[in-house]
Amino acid sequence: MAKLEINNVSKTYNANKPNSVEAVRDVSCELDEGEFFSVIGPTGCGKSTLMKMVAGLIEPTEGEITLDGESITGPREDIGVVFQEDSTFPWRSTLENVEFGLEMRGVGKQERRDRAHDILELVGLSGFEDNYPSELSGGMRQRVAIARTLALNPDLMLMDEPFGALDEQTRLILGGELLRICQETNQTTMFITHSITEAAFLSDRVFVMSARPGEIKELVEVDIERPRDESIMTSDRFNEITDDLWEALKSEAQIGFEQSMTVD
Amino acid sequence: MSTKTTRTQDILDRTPSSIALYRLLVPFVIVGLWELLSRWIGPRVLPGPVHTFSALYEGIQSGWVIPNTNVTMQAVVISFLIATVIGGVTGLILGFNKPAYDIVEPFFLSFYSVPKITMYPIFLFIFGVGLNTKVGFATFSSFFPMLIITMGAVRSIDDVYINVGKSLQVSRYQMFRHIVLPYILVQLVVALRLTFNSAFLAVILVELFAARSGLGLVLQHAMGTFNSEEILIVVTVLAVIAFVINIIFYGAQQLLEERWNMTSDEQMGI
Repeated sequence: MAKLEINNVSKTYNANKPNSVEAVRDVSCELDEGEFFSVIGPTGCGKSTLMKMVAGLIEPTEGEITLDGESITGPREDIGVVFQEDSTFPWRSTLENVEFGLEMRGVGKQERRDRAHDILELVGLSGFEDNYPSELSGGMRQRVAIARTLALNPDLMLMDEPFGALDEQTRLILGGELLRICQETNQTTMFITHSITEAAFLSDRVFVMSARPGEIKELVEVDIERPRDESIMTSDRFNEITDDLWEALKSEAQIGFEQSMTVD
Repeated sequence: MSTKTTRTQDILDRTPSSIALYRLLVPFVIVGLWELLSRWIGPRVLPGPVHTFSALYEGIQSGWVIPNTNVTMQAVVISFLIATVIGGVTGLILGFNKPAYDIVEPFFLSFYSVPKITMYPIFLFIFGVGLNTKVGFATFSSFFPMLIITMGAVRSIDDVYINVGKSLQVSRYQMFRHIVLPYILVQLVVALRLTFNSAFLAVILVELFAARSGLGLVLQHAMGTFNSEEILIVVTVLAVIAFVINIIFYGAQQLLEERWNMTSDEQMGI
């Protein structure tokens, strides 16, 4: 049985009202345990909506999402989310940020401290425990947010364009770090992105979404062996895959662009 | 390129500790200007600092300064506490309730700018001369900054923090205690400062109009008898109290802003 099952899920905002917007239409897919799964699509295609439904933050209008066969009806302990925006708490130090979820769940001080130290080492932030987010770069803050989610050891980690607000170099470096972390922890991850390279580099499978309303356009398998590192980016197979992805995305991106010009 | 900067830095060292040192000098500069002004206008109309300070000392000795200050500050502190609780709680409720917020916000904002003193007679009719009128009117006028800033602070919380809390399944109490409260804390400190200042002003105003005791009453008497000395004693006492209270709130605000790098700029307009 698949870890996560998305069955014929649709989402219409303001349903049955004149200003209704169909964001996601009849999406079905499955994630296996330990899989890194990306969703890629043009701007405004409903990727974030899909992720918020999996996170239990919003309800689908139709269809069902199950984790380990259990229907998702609201936020769950075993699902961790990393948001696109900077979500670190400015009033907590790096260590306290990473401890946050554990603290809220009543984990004892020593235990959560040890756990936070381990995770900080994993994300490469050892030595920054006592720094506040205002003293860290955008990339480091996003590592803190990732560490805060990983600290809870979620069955499924959802990432909504976690590097979307960062510059290209930082993005590449953090992508490499994330690859390493997920390979080390075998973390089941659903990753939302609009970067083709990022999707191909990190994922086992990439799900290409159409322009709004978002539907499955294509499912691309990234059959490059793990463990991977940056060197795969120059391989022929990697280029073929990114070409395939671009091919599938191109027309949709054009539609998405035109939508964005007319809607607002 | 940097000659100008270097020169300014030579005169004014900008490290935080020297800034603090320069701040300590400001009161002395003010006292110096006061002395100059007193000599220019004439000490009968504007007594100088030395004269005022010795008169203040005599006033304390003869026993009218401290009791009147106590009467005034008692009313200020009670009003401040009531206004903080009522304004804070109402602000939180309205801040969390978007439709209610949208309905009342424009009214509160415009009501805030109506001179509160126009309502003073009503309080006098209800409560008569004394502590009740002072507290009633001062609470009424200082409740608005607390309410408006708290309300705005809650509304300004970034959705992503709420979503982090939700995705971690925090309880309502945890959401408030560990996400909302720290987020709005800097703005709350600003609100407390402005609430205190409003209550302070309101109590003095009430005492100027009608009171049996208090610094405002002393001021009113002094005005009637052209007693500049007493007026300056009252001003000095009020200035010292205002300075101490504001420095505490301002210090707390600076500390939070510096450490967390969170600002309260958008609220400073009030």
